[in-house]
Amino acid sequence: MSQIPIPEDRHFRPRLLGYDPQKSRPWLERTVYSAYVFVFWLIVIGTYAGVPALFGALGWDSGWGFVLMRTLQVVLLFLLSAVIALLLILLLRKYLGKVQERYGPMHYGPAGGIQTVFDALKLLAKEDFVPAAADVLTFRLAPAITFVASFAMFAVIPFASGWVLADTNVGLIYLIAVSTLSAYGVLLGGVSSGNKWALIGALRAGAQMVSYEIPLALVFLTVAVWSGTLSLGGIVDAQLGLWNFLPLALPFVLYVIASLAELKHIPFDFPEAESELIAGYNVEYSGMSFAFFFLAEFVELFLLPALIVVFFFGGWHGPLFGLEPGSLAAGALESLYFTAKTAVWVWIFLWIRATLPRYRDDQLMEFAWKAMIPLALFGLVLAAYLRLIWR
Amino acid sequence: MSLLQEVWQAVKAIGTGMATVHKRVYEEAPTEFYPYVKPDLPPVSVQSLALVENEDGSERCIVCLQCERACPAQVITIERHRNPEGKGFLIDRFDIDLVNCMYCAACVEACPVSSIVTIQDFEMSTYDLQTLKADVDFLHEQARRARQWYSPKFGVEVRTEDGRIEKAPPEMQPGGLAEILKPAEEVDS
Repeated sequence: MSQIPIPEDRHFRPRLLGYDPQKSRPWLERTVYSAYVFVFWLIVIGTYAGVPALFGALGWDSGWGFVLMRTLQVVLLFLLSAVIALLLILLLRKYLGKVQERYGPMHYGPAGGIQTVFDALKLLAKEDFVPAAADVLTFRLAPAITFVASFAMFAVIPFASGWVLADTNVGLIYLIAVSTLSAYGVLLGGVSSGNKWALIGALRAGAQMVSYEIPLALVFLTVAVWSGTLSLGGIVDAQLGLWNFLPLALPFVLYVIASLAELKHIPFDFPEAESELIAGYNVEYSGMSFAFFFLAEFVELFLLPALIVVFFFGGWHGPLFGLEPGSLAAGALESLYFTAKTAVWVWIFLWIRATLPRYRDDQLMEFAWKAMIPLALFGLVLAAYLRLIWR
Repeated sequence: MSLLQEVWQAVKAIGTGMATVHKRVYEEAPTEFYPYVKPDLPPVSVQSLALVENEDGSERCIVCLQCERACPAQVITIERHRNPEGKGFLIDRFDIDLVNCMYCAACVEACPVSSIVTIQDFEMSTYDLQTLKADVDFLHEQARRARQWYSPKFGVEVRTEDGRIEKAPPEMQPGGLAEILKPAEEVDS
């Protein structure tokens, strides 16, 4: 059976953009993801080792030079969060596509690899529309609050030993304070939009995030009690012999559930339930304001799994193969361990998102107040007791 | 105890669901890449009409006007003259208005020589409806382009590697011919 070729001039045929769909090339996708992770890794190394080394060589590591160094590091971290958002959105779409037996984005770039870059450019070019019913100042402020609250959590995340912007001894309290702040952005954004869907979404977001902050904070407390420190670097150091997820199994499970709710992730995505509320609190946002909400969501999708790794899976710990601790190579290797562990947890979060349906609103609140908080308290007491008799 | 059982059932259900979802990752997507890859439609899919020539390139149509009479939408227009050298008729004009045709394939059933056939070319969208007023050359071209076609009288025919037209194997025939033939073969053997 041979096919007589169809004359090219008779019908319109779109050009093939970067991908031959007849050939399945998973290595190409893996190369794209590896390139993103490599860029991520380079920025981490540059932020935490490159910039301090540069400023130390120039002799600018005190006074205004120090301020300049920190500013440069924060700019690099902003770049890092943009890379995280681009990669995670791509991964989410590709993974959901695979699960639902279709292909995700695949036309722009190798295996659809730069689709999210084009999406970001589209959002940059779009008009940032403010509806007539909106309260302009609050409407403009809300995305900034949401993003800054998520982005500020980067300050205390240790990527390797000593690779942290501020290794304060109140890191956990800072985390509780900052992560609660993002509820304000969501609430203000929804209320100031002048839209009923947004209002309902914001009310749900407020109720849900405030409720789930409590078990989250209780789990933070449990980890602090078990490790004997509030500093994140200290918590990681305390896990040298035994990773925390074994002795703190109950708080660990509670943390995963509560962080799903904190992320507004399926099965707890009430604030932006597409099928009920269209897009919830961000329904009136467009252009870069919407992009900042989106960026905040995906930065949190990286940061909360990163906190799981810090609290329960030994942070940057891993075999160093004889490298001297504290050197650049050891730091690079440790940050790679940290990234790999975080990537596994991001994948598990995406897996949960691909599997579960949405909960019901009253069941969500009931679950938080009747199950999560008593269990978190029980876990706290149990951890304190174990700590007394064990260590 | 019942609370613990409920919790265990919930955990088990979520675990089963997540395992099922993970299996789906490794399955191949049934996506059709239509603009890049043309789908292989089944022979019974009626998308357009064509006029078949004989294997040696001569006209297969005997201009008996059966299709024109059978057409319920009256979109077939045929003019003919008597063959001066020998018997039969020759085509002056064989037009099918593919805009108003309702693709019932009544002409295909009426054709005594299986000359007019249905084909699977569905890419007929156009900005100019006049291009769908098919003349005899266009219909011949469509038949040459079609890889396989279907006639209720003669079944599915396929073009072989060396260009000949043969009757298709029973698996490709419509109407469950393969299933009808199978018990007979089993009884024989």
